[in-house]
Amino acid sequence: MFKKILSLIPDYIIFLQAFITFLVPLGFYKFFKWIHSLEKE
Amino acid sequence: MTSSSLDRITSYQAVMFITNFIFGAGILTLPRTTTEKIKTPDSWIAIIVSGLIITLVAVIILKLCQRYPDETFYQFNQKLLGKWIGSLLSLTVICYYIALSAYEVRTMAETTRLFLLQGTPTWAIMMPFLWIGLYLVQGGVNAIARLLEIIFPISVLFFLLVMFLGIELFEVDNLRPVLGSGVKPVLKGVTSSSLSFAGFEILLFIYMFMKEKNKVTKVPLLGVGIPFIFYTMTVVIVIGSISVDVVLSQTWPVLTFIRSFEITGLLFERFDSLILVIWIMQIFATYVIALFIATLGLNQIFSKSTHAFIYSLIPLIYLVSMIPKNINEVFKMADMISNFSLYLFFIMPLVLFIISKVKERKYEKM
Repeated sequence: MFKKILSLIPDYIIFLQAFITFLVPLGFYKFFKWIHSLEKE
Repeated sequence: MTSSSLDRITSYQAVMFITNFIFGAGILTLPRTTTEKIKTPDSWIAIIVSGLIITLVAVIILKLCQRYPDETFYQFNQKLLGKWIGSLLSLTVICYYIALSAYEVRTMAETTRLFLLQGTPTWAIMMPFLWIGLYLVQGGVNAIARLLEIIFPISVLFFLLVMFLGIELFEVDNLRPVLGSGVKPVLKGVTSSSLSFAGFEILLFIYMFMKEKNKVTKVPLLGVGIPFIFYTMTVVIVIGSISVDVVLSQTWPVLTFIRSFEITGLLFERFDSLILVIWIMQIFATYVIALFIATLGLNQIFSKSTHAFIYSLIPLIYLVSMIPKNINEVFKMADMISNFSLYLFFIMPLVLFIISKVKERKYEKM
C-alpha cells in the first residue's frame, strides 16, 4: 500500500513546474496590485 | 463568494452551466466507453435509458435546492447532516472537483499533443490553460456564465456540422440487430452510460446564484436534455459509420470517425484538427466550472478570501494532473473519477432529499 502511494508521487521536476504554475500568476497579481496602488497615490 | 446582486445568473445561463459541464472531454471517448460493456450496437438505447434516469435525479436535485434557495450544497448539507459530517462531505466533493479539473486539463494536453502540437511539452500546453482558467474564475459566476454563452453555440454548431459531413459513411446495418442479444447487455451498459452524464449535479451549487427561482423547472430538463440528444446522436452516427469493432479498438473513436472522411471543395478537407480546436473550448469550460465549484466550497467552508484559494488550487491541480504516467493511466483516472461520482451524486442527493423531508415532518409534528 505504502509502495503504491509512493509510486503515485510525481518527480521533483513536476513539483518545480507546479511551483512555477503558482508563482507566475501570483507575480502578475502582485505587480498589477502595485500598479493600482501607485495610481491611487 | 456570496450571491450578491451582481453575481446572479439567468435560467438560460444555468442551462448553459449544466450542458457545458456535462460535455467536456467525455464525448470524444463516449462511443467506446458505452460500447465496452455492451459489446453490441445497442449502446444508443443504454444512453436513452440513462438519460431518462439522470433527468429524474436532476429533478430531485432541483427539489432539494428549492428547499434551500439562498444556500449552496456546501451550506445546506451542514444543516441536514450536522457540522462535522457536512464539512467532511463538502471536502470530499471539493477533492472530487479538483481531480475532475486535473483530469480535464490532462486530457486536453494529451489530445493536443497527439493531434495538434506534436512534440510540445505537456507543461507548456497545460500551464497557459490553467492560468487563463484562474483569471476567469476570479471574475466570478457571471463572467463564467457569459463565457459559456459564447462557447456553447460555436462548439455545438461546428460539432453538428462535422458530424453531418460524415453522414455518407453511415450504414444502418452497423446498428443492427437491435437488441440482438436481448435487454441484459443494455442494462449492463446503463451504469457506464449514466456516468457520461456526470456533471448534472452542478445545480446543487449554482441554484443559489439564479435570478428567477420560480422559473427553474425547465433548467434540469433542458440542461440534461441537450447533452442527451447530443450523446445519442454522436453514438448513433459514430457506431453507424465505423462499426462496433472499430469503435472498441480506438482510443478516441469520435476523432477516428472525423478522420475517416474528407470533403473536397470546402476550405478544409479534413476536420479533426478543427473540431479539436473547437472542443478544447468545451474542455476549458468544464475545467473552469470545476475549479469554480472547488473554490466556492473552500470559500464557504473556511470563510477566507477566494483569491487565496484560487491561487493555491492551481499548482495542486497541476500536480494531480501529472500523476498518471501515460494515456492508459489517464483513462484509469477517468474511470475512478466517474465511479466516485456515481456514489457521490446519484445516491447522495436522494439521501439528502429524504433527510430533509423527514426533518420537515418532524418539525411539523412539533
